[in-house]
Amino acid sequence: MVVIAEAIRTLSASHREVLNETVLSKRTVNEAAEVLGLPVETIKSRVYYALRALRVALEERGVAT
Amino acid sequence: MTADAEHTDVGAYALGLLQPDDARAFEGHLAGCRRCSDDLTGFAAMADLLTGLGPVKGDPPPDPEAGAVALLRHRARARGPVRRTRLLFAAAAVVLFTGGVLAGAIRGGEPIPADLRGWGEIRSASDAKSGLEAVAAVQGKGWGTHVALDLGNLEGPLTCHLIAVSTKGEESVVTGWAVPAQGYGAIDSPDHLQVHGGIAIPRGDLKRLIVRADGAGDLLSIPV
Repeated sequence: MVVIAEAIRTLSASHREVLNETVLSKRTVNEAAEVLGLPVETIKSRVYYALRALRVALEERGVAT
Repeated sequence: MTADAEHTDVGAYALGLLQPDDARAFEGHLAGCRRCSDDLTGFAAMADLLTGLGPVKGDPPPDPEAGAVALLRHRARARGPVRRTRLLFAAAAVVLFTGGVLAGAIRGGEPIPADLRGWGEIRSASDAKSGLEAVAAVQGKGWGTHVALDLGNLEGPLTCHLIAVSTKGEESVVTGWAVPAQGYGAIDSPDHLQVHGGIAIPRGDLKRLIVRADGAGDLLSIPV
């Protein structure tokens, strides 16, 4: 878990924010869109690129995904 | 929805963050999209890692490291999604085409635990007194019923079994596990327990699932 949190900290502020406000707070993309005041499509897109970035950050730390 | 928007929906879908209608619409796209199937396979593993983890606070590291990560990210994008084995793709396809897919759907406003997505009908139960929370996925098979369980807020040490009860009152053990002293899904132990098992009882004859602790009795009953 520590490794995963470390990997999330290396993400850009917007990628970390979108993961924090969705999956890590148990919110749907629609709920997160309301919280952040952004279009749902923007949230979905950021989640996608945040996961791609997180996969790289995890692989860098030896966590296979 | 544009084609690009549908592709990027795979991230939110893998994490179970789409509303039910959007999840169904995406499944329509996913069935014919190899690229999304590949992404889904890779993201599903990360969904498991993120399950139970709370928000992560803190600033990004100093610039040099952030720069290196950004560079790697750029390379990863240029390289495209990592190809997974055909076996995994076939397994994902079987899940998609055999029906009972609830992947990405929302349970009472909460995402379905990643480990249960694609494993059939979702049922849940909780105990207000102990805080124990259980979500189960049940799926009829030719040999009986596949059962997957996600359990949180369980304190240890305990040895537990998941028991299936048929409509005739017959009991079958689905699977068993040990709970370490720090428990599952408790403070300082963010992991939920996730187990899979099977029983010979047909789905239609399955009435409920019981979380039973050795020496401590039944902790929870999940009507299915």
